[in-house]
Amino acid sequence: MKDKGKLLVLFLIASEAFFFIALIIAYVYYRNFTNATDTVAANLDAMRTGIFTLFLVGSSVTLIFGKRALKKGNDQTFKLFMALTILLGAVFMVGQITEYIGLYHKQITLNKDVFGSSFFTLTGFHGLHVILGIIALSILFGVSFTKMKPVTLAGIEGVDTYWHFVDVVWIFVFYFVYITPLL
Amino acid sequence: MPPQQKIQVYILAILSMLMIKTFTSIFWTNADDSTNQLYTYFGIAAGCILFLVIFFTYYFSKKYRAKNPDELPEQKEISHKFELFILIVASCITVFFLILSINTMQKIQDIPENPKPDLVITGHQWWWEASYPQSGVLTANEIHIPVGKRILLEVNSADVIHSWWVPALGRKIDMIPGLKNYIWLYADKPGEYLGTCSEFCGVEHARMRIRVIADTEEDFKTWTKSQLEPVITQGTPLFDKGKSLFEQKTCTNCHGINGTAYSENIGPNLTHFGSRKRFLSDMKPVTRENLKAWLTNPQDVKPGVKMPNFIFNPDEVEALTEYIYNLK
Amino acid sequence: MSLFIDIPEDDDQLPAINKDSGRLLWIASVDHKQLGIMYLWLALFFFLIGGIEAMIIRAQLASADNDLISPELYNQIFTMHGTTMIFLALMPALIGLATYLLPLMIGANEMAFPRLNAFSFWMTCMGGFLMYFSFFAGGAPDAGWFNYAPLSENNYSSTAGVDYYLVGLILTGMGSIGAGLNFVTTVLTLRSPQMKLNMLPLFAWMIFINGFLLLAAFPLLNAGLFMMLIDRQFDAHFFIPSTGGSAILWQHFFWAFGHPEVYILALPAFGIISEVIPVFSRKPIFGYKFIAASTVAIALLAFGVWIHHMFAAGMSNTVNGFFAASSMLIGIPTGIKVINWIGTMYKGSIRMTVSMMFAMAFLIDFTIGGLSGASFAIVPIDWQLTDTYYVVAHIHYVFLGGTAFGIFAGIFYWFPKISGRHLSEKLGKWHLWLFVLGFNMTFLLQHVLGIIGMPRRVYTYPADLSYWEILNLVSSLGAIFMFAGIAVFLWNIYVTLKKPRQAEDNPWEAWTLEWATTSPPQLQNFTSLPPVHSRRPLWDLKHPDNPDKKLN
Repeated sequence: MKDKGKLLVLFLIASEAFFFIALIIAYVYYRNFTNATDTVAANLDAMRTGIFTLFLVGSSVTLIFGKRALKKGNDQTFKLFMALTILLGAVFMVGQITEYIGLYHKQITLNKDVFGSSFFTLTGFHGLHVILGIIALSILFGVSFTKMKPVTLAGIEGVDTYWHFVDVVWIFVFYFVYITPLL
Repeated sequence: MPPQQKIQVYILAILSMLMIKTFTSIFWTNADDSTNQLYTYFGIAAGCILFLVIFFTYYFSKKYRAKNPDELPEQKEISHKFELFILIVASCITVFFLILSINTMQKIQDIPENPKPDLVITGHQWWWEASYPQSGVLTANEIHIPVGKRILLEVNSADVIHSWWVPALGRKIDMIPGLKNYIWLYADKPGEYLGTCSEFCGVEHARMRIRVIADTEEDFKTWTKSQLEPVITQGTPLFDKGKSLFEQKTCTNCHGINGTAYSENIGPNLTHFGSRKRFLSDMKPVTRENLKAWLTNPQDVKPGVKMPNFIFNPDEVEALTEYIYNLK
Repeated sequence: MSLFIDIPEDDDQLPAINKDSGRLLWIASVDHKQLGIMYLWLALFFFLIGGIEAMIIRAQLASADNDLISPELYNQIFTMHGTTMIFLALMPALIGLATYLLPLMIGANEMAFPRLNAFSFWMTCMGGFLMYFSFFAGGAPDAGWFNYAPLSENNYSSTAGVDYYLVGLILTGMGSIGAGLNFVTTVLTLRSPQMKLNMLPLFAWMIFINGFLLLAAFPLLNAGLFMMLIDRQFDAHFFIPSTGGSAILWQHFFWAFGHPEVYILALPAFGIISEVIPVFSRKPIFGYKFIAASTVAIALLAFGVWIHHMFAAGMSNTVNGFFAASSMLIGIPTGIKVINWIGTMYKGSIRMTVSMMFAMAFLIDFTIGGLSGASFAIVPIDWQLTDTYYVVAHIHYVFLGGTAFGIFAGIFYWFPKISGRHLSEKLGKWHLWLFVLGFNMTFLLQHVLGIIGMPRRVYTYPADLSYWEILNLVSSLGAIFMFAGIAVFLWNIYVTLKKPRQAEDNPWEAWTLEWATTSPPQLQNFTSLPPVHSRRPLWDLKHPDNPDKKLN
């Protein structure tokens, strides 16, 4: 492939995947290979977070439609789907933040126990990546209102890949952190 | 090859052999002859390989030196069969060492399913706590074992990662807080065996040395018995003064003495301290002068150690020394 | 100094630092040649600092029960020595050479992402200076360069030193990941259209594979660093056993990074040697395909051997056995490369330049390092010799005898291309002999010290242990020779840079594309390229009657 921008993002997300794999391995290690007690899992609401997960997955879907629209030249459709993507991503973040606040009120923080440390670090870094993605999407959204169409076209390739990556990482995080304690 | 070069080759060969012999013979007398043997084989293989590399690098650089600056050699590569041959040789050597090392590893490290240790050593910053589950002896730094039998050692740590290593008695094993590790110790002759902490554990890691005293069966029984005897609680007036200072000045907040109410193990257990030969993790012999210097200011003797400078006055130092030195 | 400066034209030279606008043009540069040079200066700067730290260590250890420096200071010095040499001297030097040469070798005019390139450099700078700032901010990191938990956690390391280590390495790590991204995408997208992947110069190939190693290994380190930072700053429990964490997990993360890291340091040096030896033997490298393929094997295996740093940690015989096998396996592709290099010299026409002599010193000393490394794959031997001076000897033979000698060989080889002047061969020979002699004097006997029981990271040792003092003294004397050698090297650089630029395009009669342009290249590397049909385009150009086999 000769598109250096897309290649860059692919390698970047491969590298970031290793980072998240390391954090997930830490979590799995604590759960399966130590005797550490988990006081966090009982306070997690998998159903609620599951719904917010759907919002994040939905934002990936709207982004796919948006990219398709841009390639066909339907600017208005593209702008609509971009706005939807950003909105859905923001809803996910709001869900995360309110969850954090809820846990904080139950005195579950980074130093609650090793699972508290793990939970907040893993979801926190993921959330950070979501925020960066929302910023990137917003910049692209803003640029699309100017005359810089080629920039938008080039940018969408990279941001699109990144956003799907963020989505996939969340699926894994959700599985390991929210689902496995219930099994 | 011209005679001058022949001589150089011979010198190189002799040097290589001397090196192999030195490396393999200064290897310590190890309870595991199998490790010694492994290292000998390795030394021979490595020595040969190194000799060949040095020889051919040097020899080619001389033989194929450009005689005039523009001379161009034939631009051909040597046979790939040679490469394949080397690959096969290397693989065979590797398999040989792999089999040998796994066998030796399993022979050295054969810990039973539910290990019942003969000796439990806990690493602290920067001293060794030793307890003998079977006899109930609890002591610090001076460690005795009987000769002629395999001792199952359990190690763990009270703070950071340390590592137990007495080369002549067995392998090295890390002491990791939260984990229990096991190795075998074996002394074939009575004597003193030196070792050292082998994982950087802070400021005085260098002074966390080990001296294991391997006793004959009778001597070990004698030692065990004497360790279990009750401590002296009364003596000369100076001794008594020292004892009461020991209690008043918060020494007992860190140091335990078996058979008394004091059982902390933040600092080394001082039971029968006076009968130990050395203290401060094998740093100094137990003498009145060394004790006095230590009590006057521990930070001068072993800077960074956890025992603070209590700023005792000389009378207090006298009394405490009298007490501790006579805890025999 | 006006802030509005003329942007240089493509056929201008690199801006001169002593002209007014030159300084800003360097600081703001995104040109890969300028950035490469800046990396090299950074590496030299930190190499000297790391070297001074080494001299202090050797001075303290020259005699038993020495009290030249306190144990607290000693622990900071040895920690910073290791951290500096690996992350701030060797890595920037290799990344700098790669940044400078990669586009030139593939016939490109720039790296794929020039601004990312500059970002990588400045992140490395910032991480380095932040770590050194710690000396003025309460104490440098003092828990060793691999910073084991729980010693490095708050309750045992209460100064901010370890925090500076963590943040500093996170910053340099981001710089390294950026460099890796650039290397990989540049090779994949900006090669001259005629140059297929199997025609890459071996240095370019090594840098390419190294890029993947950088991308995969540094995130593992970053994960560990962030977790420990969160432990220390937010009272989390990741690596603190007393509150539910796992001390050994840090070791896993660190060494899962640490082992690929040593290959990250070795592969580019292998690449340099693979360029230097053929050119100065006037023959193509013996076994290009094998060297290239074995590099891929090493890169993959590198992630499957890390437990060999932890054989003494008490894991089961099964685990230890598996990793013993993988560690022995990885020794094979690494070792056979030495055969390839010596095989290149066979029936060659050898020119003994300083560069070639460093390459030969590399062959011998890296072999010694490789062999002592192989001995660690033999688990029972590791159970005696790990964490002793035998390891210190091993790591210095591979890092100094391997990577650093490779870098010296590369510097002498490419200096005319980069600066337009030749380093003095005479001074170079003094540098080489002083340094090689001093190096072997210091480190060869440390194998013996390890075998007779001296552990690592000790600020002193008892006086009554036989041979410890004399061996340590000889080791320390060797350091003085190395110091002298480096002094000569610095002098060499100084007098050379004062000479006028007179080097030809291709003074060594080499064959890869970087020699097809001026010395130094203009801002735009190439205005035209020779035809590229083999691995040695310039050989084909000069010998149309006897070209290499056509590969595209």
